[in-house]
Amino acid sequence: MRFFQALILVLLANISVQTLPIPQAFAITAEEQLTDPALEARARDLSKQLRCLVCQNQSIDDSDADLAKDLRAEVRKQLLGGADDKTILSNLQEKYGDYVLLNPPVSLATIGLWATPILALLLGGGLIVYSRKRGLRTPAPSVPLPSASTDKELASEKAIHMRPIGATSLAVTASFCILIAGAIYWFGLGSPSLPSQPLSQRASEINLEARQVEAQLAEKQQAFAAAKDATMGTPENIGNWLELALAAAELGRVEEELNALRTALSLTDEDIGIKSMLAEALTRSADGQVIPEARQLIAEILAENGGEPRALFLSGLAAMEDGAYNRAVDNWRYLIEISPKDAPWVSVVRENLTEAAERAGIALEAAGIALEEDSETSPLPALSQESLSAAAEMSEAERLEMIEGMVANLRQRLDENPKDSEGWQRLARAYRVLNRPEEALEALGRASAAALNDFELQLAVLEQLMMAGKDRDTAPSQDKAKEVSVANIVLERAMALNAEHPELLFFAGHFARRDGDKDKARFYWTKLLDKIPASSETARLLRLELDKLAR
Amino acid sequence: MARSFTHFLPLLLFACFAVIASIALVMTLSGERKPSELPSALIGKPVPPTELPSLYNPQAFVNIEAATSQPYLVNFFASWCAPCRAEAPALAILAKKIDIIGIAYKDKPQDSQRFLTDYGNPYTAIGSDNEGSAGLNWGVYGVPETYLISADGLIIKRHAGPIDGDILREELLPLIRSLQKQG
Repeated sequence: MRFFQALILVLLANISVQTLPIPQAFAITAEEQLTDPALEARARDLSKQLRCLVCQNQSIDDSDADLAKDLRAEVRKQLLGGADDKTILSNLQEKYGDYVLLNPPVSLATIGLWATPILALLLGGGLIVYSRKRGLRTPAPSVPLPSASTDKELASEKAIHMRPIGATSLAVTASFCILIAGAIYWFGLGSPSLPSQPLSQRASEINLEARQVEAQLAEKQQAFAAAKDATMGTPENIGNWLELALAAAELGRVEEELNALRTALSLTDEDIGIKSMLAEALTRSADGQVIPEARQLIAEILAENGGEPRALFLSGLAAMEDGAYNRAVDNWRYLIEISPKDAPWVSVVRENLTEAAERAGIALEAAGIALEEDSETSPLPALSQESLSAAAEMSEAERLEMIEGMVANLRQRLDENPKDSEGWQRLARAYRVLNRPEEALEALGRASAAALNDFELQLAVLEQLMMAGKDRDTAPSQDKAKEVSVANIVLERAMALNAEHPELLFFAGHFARRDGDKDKARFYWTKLLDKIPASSETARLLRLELDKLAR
Repeated sequence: MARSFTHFLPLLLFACFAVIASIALVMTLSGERKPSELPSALIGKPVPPTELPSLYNPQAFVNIEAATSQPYLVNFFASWCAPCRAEAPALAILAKKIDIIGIAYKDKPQDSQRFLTDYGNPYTAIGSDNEGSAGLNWGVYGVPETYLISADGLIIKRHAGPIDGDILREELLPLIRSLQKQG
């Protein structure tokens, strides 16, 4: 039974380790201390018995946490009030539970904890006694054996010793291994004598990291500025605009990214690569919602090239949004099939695919088989489709409620602080997502009114108005009339600031055409044509539009 | 027989221990067991008597003691607490279904007021717990914390940390619904 001897050794080792003097760092500050040294000593003693509930493995005497400080103050307050140690501990135990005591009390829940060592010792002792009585393990004789013992007897005794030795040595070796592994682990990580790493001393490390982050940001900003300059210099170069879009994306400046992509797209002959980038950026700008403009683009891309990965991915997202999980599964499965195995997007698509399959209530393998065997008919069994769509609708409603709550919040804040033009623009975007065009128009009007002297902001409002118009070309004409009337007010304000700006001229022409005033549209766009290089792609497109107007 | 049994007993005991330990480890890794999440000692007990000056009118007092005729929530928040901002939308939804008493924990009244203007005010009454003494009485160990109180003034549930969509849908709303049906 060397195993039990080893066990006892382990227990002894633990005890001696725990009673080692441990160098302590105290968290207590001078002003917290009581003037009466006897009371203060009691306070310190109590603090060591109480657990900090934030750090959870420190006493409140050790912990720097705010809550620990409060608890120390509470202990001292109760001490000054004349409470005895037991009352103070039980007061805190009542509020925070047994967990606040570092020494768990003996109760029904903790009896196992307390009893285990005793039980283990009893069991071990019992086993030793039992096996001795059975004579399985004779101790080394302290008295010389009677001379009568023969070699034969000795041999048979040896045999008894020999047989269990395999199992015993295995047990002893295993327990030593565990002991040594535990000791290595404890000295490496668990030892309370390891130096602490207070935050204040790591300030330089943290500062260095902060500086690195700043440097990275500055670099990105520089790249953005450089790209912007490049597009200014040669606005007809598509590469420059794409670079600008990438730089803007790095900085999270979505509006500028969209602008750059739109320009790049207008410079090409409807390049589907750029189109898909635009669709992706639009989706990102709407926090992952595939907005109508993006859907339009996706449809155009897939009509031209059914295997465009970005468009396929986004199309799946759109299907998920609509609750058409089966369609999403189809899309993404196809995308994985046609993608190279090591394409960077495969893992993301796979993850999404799994979720879509789960929502659709189908096993992925089953879907795969069904698709391969018979792709003509609807491949996916409609597993309680009704209940699924009902559940999807319910959570959708709750989600919508949440968004509406946030929009209402924003609205309230803006009513209190109406000078925040960008806030109004954000609100307008939110209304557009929620499909409330009337309110979106109103918000855009307020956004413009809030920035009477800021030309850039007026331009941004005009762009949003244009997009709001594109959202719903099937809308009733009175919506369109309102859109144009709001646009006219904004145009007037912007004209007052910088009447010759090319972008503004473009918007003026666009809204004039929308209003049905072809002459006015022609007037603005002709003026714009004079301001841009005649050979540029934009100029070519503009001339095309002007031709259409003339017809 | 007896010999081999006594020899393998330690191994058997160790195997039992290893099984229990691995179950605990797997549950912790999968997030089912959360050792850092503390149960409240106050579940099933009456609310600790709490009287705090009202946030908007320091002469008046907000009292959480008397049993009301219907269940309500008590929410500890602070303007300096980022997760409190995150749970603002959830509280706005809850406010439509149940009364919420707010307690501004260790916060300057003007800061709390600004926080409520910025992120919305879902509360029916707000007490100002400048010193954090009410927090100590409730066993609060970090804001935000939310307590669900039954109509007879007993603490039914405590949620430490921000209320997210899952907690809202799967825990709080069903509990509130069943409490309100009883009442």
